[in-house]
Amino acid sequence: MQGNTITARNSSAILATNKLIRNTYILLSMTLLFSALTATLAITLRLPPITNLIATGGALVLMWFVLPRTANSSAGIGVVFATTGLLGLGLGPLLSMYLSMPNGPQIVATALGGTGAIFLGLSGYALTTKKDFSYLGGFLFTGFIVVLLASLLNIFLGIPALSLTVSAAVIMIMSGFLLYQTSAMVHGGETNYIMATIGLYVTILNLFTSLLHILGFASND
Amino acid sequence: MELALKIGTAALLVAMLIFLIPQAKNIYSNTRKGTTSEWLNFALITCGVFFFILILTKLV
Repeated sequence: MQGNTITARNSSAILATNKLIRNTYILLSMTLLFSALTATLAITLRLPPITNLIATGGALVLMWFVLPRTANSSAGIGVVFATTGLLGLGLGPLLSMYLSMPNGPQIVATALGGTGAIFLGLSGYALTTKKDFSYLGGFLFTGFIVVLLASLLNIFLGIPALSLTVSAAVIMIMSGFLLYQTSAMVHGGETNYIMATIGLYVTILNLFTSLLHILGFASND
Repeated sequence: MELALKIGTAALLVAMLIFLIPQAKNIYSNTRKGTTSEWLNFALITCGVFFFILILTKLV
């Protein structure tokens, strides 16, 4: 009798995890498509570079103050779309800059393909092996703080080597975050698909922009 | 215009640091410690990503 109860609990937990993963990936693909649309709009309208700053600021406000209050209701989905739409809009001027380079379309396409491959590879690894990557949390957050401090310093110093090092470090940290977040969904560390989606979206975006920076630098010799 | 962009970006980064540092402290103190084999596994994955990026840079 007790064995039956444990089995029923286990199967309901597995069902809940599968539902969380399915909902997260459906919402993630929809938000990625939506932000691709807003990025295309920004490129078409030739929006100035300041758009990136304003849109990112707006997205951060939504992510930090509005999303945690709406994540458990259907309004949270609208907030996720607004956030990712703004981030896509901010990405537009950056993409315009790379696309205007001699082999710009190739750089953007390679960065896009590379980001997709890293995401599929690492998420697939965490999902199939079901390894627990929760031990990475402290290391990843500390690493990200260090990267933010280095970026802040480099705004005024403008050292290209430091900028490249920061991009490389961001790629490594975001790869770790992909494992950490996917593992959290599998092991019950994350139970809200709206919060899981926004976490994965920001990780993918950071991965893409850093890869774009490295590839742009590499193609300039 | 460029200076305004730099100041704006710096302000955004400072806001991110102010928001993230308490969260990072909390996560750091509540995270379980990984074993040597777990860290080795992560190091191998990171090396894999590094070499993949290296290949991508040769493609452009």
